[in-house]
Amino acid sequence: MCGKSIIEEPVLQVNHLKKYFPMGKGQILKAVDDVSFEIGKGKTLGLVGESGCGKTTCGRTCTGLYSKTSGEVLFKGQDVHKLRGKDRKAFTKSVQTIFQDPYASLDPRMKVSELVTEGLRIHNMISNKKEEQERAQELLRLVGLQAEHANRYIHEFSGGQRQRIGIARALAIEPEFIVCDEPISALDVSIQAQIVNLLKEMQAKMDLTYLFVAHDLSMVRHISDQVAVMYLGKIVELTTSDELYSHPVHPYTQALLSAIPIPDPDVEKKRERIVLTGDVPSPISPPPGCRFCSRCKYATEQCFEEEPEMKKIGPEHYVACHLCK
Amino acid sequence: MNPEHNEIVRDEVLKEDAFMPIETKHKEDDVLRDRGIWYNLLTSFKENKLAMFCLCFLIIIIIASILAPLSPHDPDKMDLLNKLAPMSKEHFLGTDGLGRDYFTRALYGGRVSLVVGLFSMMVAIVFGTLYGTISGYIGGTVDNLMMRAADIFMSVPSFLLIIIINSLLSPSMTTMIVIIGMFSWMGVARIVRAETMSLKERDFVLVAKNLGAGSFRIIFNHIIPNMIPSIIVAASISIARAILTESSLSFLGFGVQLPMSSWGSMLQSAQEHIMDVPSLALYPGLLILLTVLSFNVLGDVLRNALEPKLVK
Repeated sequence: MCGKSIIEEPVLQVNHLKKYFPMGKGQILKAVDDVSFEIGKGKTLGLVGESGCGKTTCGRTCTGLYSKTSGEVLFKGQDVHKLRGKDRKAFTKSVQTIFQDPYASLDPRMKVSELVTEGLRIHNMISNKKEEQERAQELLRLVGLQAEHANRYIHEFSGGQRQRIGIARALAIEPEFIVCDEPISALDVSIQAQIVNLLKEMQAKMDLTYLFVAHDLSMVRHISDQVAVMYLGKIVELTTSDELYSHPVHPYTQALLSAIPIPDPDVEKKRERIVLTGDVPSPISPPPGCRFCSRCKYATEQCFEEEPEMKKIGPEHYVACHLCK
Repeated sequence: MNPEHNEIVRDEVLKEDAFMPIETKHKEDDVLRDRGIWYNLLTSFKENKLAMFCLCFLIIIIIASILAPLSPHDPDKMDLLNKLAPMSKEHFLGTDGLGRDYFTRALYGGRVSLVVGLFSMMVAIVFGTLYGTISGYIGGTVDNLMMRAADIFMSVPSFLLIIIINSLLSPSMTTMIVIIGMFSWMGVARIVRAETMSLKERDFVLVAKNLGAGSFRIIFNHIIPNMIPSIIVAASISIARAILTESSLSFLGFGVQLPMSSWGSMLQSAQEHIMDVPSLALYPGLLILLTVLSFNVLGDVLRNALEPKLVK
């Protein structure tokens, strides 16, 4: 099992998690297929991969929003999917999600003050209207908005402001673990940096643990301690952030990293891109063997037949590839 | 020019507010004004003359029916010597075939029509909304069964059934309200169910679940508030329809019983005299028409006013 030795006492421990969706006619979409990782307290795990590779599903299954197909998700040693009643409510208080789409994830009929304090009301953490207003204004200031924004409706805000409101809502109930489900992909670049910095600041202040789902590699590097690269529902490489960016081993990771533009025209001109040919195979009927073999230029016969296991190739460096020894 | 003079000129200009950009002025207003529902309603009515007219008309009708007992005439007192009297000072709209004051009868009739319309709308909206949300939220087999049951209700020729039930039960306003409500919730339930199906998959509902909200909270705090515009439109159509159904029932003699009046029963008794005194049919007809029309127009305005996105 990968990642076991990296951190002691993980906050979140995911073991061989599988999430399949039935597609009718006996077809099964394997969105998340045998994924394992761990996140230690106060750490951030970046989860990257291209669109449709199962990142969001993985995040949502970890927070119990989706039921699992098999495997287990342990939050501080408790199985997330077996929690009921009181335990489940306590769990929802310590785990939060920041959603990808700041437009759809905020109820258009609620005022900002009601939105950010909803969790407080659910968990009976405030008693009256006055307290609600005070907490709302406090939270808005915390994420860099103004207190008078509290009485507005959500359509009066820009994308970046809305995402801040989403973050304020997630922080309101003082969770320990936050799944950031592509919190920056709907925003433009200048605001992305602000939001990522805000998240880092909050992490330092409140000792938060993040699962940071994204497809923007440069932002992930900025925020993550560890990075897991996902391809078609499987993690292909898992290592520390620095190691991944300096020594990518899996051919897919190498291709991904080569696609990051460099903000220096001279270097950028010389940058060698590894262009992947072909499309991502359908997750409904993934090829046997290595998931990446159809697009891998190094693929051997073994790759087409045998599924690679996660192997440890260095300290805190795990990769699923037959070619890496 | 000395510098002191310059200063004075600048001060004057500043006082006049001329340099303050118009946009910032607007923004200040924005912060200050209350963005509640009432504010939205007020602006919508100010902008829409027709809506204003309809609102005034309904308010007048409602107040007049409430104050009906103030009329000097007894609505049921017959005066055969004075029948079919034309308009006069004493009888504002003349008298009917039995010499009863037509204006007073119209006021009392308005009470019946409005009460039946309002309450059967409420029965239909409350039941239809709950039925639709539950059906849509649970989904699956339960949804299927519940919607087929609604379909059965829908495919029954309701008017005929209302007449049969009404003739079996002792006709009173309460039975009429319940029966009309009973046969008009299906449309509401259908609209509500469809909206629920789409709303429950929205991200903000997922967020609420993630925050630990139960189904009850999600339905009442997120799903129903987001359906209010559709519910209001359904309500306005429903109230208009209920008034029409009540009128038709009373016209056919299955509604309120004599000597009580309603606009429908007034139309019915006006039939005998339609050739000599057509105005007897005109007044209740006009009242029904304008009331129903007003409710329909108001429904539209309310829907727009309750949509926070449409605030100007």
